[in-house]
Amino acid sequence: MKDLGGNIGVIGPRSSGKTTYLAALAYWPERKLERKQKSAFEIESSDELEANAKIIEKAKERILEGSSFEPTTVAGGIDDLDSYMFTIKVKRFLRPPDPINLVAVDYPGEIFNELVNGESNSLHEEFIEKCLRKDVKGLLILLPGWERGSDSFYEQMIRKFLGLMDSYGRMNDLRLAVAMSKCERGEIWSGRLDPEIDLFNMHLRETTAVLRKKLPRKNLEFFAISTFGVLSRNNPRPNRVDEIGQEGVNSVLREPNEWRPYGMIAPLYWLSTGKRLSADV
Amino acid sequence: MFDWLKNSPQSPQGNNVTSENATIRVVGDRKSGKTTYMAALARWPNAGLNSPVQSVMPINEDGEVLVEIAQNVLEQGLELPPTLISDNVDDLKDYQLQISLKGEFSWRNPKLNGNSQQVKLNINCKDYAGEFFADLLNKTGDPVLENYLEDCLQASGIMLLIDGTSRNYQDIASNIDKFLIALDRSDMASTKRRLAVVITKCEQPELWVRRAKPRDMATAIFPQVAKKLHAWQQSGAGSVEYFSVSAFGMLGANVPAPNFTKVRASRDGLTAVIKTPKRWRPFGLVSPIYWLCTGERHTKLDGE
Amino acid sequence: MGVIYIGDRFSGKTHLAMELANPKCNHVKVVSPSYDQLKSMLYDEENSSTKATDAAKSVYQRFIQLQVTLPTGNKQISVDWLDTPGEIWRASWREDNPKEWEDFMQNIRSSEGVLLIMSPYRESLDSHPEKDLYITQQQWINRFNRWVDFFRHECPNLRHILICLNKADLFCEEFSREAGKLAYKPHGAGMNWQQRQSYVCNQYFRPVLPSIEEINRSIRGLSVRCFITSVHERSLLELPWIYLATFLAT
Repeated sequence: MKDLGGNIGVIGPRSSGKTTYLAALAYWPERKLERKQKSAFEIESSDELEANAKIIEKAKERILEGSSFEPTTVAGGIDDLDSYMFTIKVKRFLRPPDPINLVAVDYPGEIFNELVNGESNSLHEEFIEKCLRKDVKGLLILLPGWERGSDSFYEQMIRKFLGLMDSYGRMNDLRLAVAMSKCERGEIWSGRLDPEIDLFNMHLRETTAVLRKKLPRKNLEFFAISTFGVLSRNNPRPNRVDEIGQEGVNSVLREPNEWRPYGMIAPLYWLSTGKRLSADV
Repeated sequence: MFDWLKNSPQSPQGNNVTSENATIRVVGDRKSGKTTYMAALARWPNAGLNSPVQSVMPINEDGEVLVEIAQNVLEQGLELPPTLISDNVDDLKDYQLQISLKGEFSWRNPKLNGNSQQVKLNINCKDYAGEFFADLLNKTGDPVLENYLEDCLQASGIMLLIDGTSRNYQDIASNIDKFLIALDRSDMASTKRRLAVVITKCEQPELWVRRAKPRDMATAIFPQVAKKLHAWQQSGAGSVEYFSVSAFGMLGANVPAPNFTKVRASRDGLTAVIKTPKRWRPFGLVSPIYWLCTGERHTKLDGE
Repeated sequence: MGVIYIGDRFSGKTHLAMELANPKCNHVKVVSPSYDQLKSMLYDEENSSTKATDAAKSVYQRFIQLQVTLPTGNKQISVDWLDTPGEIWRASWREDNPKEWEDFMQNIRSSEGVLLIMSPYRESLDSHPEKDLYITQQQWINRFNRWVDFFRHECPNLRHILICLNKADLFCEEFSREAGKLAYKPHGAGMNWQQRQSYVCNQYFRPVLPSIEEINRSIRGLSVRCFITSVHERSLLELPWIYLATFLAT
């Protein structure tokens, strides 16, 4: 049994798109996604795992048909957290694919927002303890903001988080995939090809600096993700409709038949194997 | 009565049959899955054709009770009630099972002419209620405890079950400490023991992805436990090996999912029942027993 | 190993037991007494109803021997049927009937399993013409708690409490469909036990759900399970016995 996969956590502030991202991954195999070229990857997820089945249903209802996801809450404690299982298969020439088995846990955004406020309670601590436990291979941090104000906010959050990582002894052995989520937005779509330079260094300079300073280079990588994608190559408008719902802005797919997510797998692949992939996947 | 358990002469096909025996005590915290493990082992449901295990048979009446538990309770999607502690250790059920492993299995005596060794593991196994581990060990000097420890010392191997989903890191570590100390103290002969540390519930996603390296997994999740066991081993008291098992197993080979339905989850761990009893296939159960009997680790059994 | 079959006098348990002895059975069979014997004991032919339990006589005791067919074979269960007057809860009754009380307690103390039959509460019987004969929801909750507390404290060996909400045909919407949903199908075609428990608890035991959950969580070795029963549906009638038989030693 090759030990390629592992446990990863998906973290980030509220409304950064964590649940939507995981839902799209879970739903991926069921939905035929149009891609420009044949993909070198397959994602598989079993709906016999209750958590997967639940989120696939939600993906259908929410992303495709209407409302967005409710915020993931801390209320039930970590016993209520869902663990999703995915298998990534890397296609190879003349050889059967090597499966990468991943287990992803979706952490409530509230934990990270509260980090900035300096508040912590025992409930939050349980979540932090879980996501920094030694059996976790890496974390995918989704950061959605690039506008003015985001940098200082994220910088504080990341600083606090790195402090926690240190107290759990994970500074040298935890991979951090830092991703700009929702990168289908016009202003940043063009920056997706080189996220480190064109997105992070450009728009989130302080945050990027802190990360680079504190973490070993091999454990830090930058990514751009778009769960919704754009309409087409010649029409790079976001494939998204923002509606004002009960709890702020809800996003749903504009053209479900033109759904082309971007950059979903690359961070997972890197977290599992330490290797970078070409951008599009 | 059990002559046939002894080494039998060459069978017509020219195979040798080796028997390995062990007296095992299964200990661990409440709800760590001891009885479920034993019942799943005795039942050995839906065995694959490629399994290195030929069969698992109960030899005595107590062993047959395990099969009943598996069929009447686990296979019906019911929760096993807790094993209750008895004041008299002699009242405990003593499960006798025989595990037959297919030929071409043992590395011990490779035959150049291609004859294969069939191995039979005969085990006598007592399942100590969780209270033994969690409560009784605190009562130094209590005659019931002394009773249990004496019984435990007769074992040639100890299986220590730890619920992989438990978050009682401190308690588990301190209970193991107490257990090892108590054992040591009572042991006049200073026998070297084999201690199989079995992490249960490894069908759970976060454990399943790490099942290939049980030592690493146990060290990552229960660092204090690993430290204590390492110290115990260093002191020369015995040897420790780690195993990852699941009494419930997985569904599907290509894109696996755990075969469980959650009942409740807490700091103490996850309580679950089998989701699809028709496709019930545990994994890893025989591996710790093989090691306890022979001192050898066989990787083919780890995944089984 | 004792199993107690108990419940307030108007819960309908006599009729339920008699129906259990019906020779047309699936997985549960009454071995003794026979259907005819039971009928003569309990049924009043003239008035076409179960015989009224004598209010003067305190605690009736009968024995029933059941056989349950499980996947691994047949299991026998010996049941102590204790029919108690409502007054048994009153200190005055206990003072007046010390021997009966002591006998009753002797039986109870050694039991491992209890089947408690309860009648429905008024609010659950929407259009029933005689709903005023039934106790209110609050009274029902009180009674439930009283029974459970009693068992917890007086029966140290108790492992299983099975609460059977009887006369399900009166309070179930689409009764036959419900029965079909819950029926035992040993080869996996129907609901599994966890689904059944969850469904029945949430649907019919909502007022006392927190108490049930609390007991299940906090007392090691004791579990409370909920069932709905009715003389008009064999499959529902047999369920609690099948469940109990699973856990009893031979």
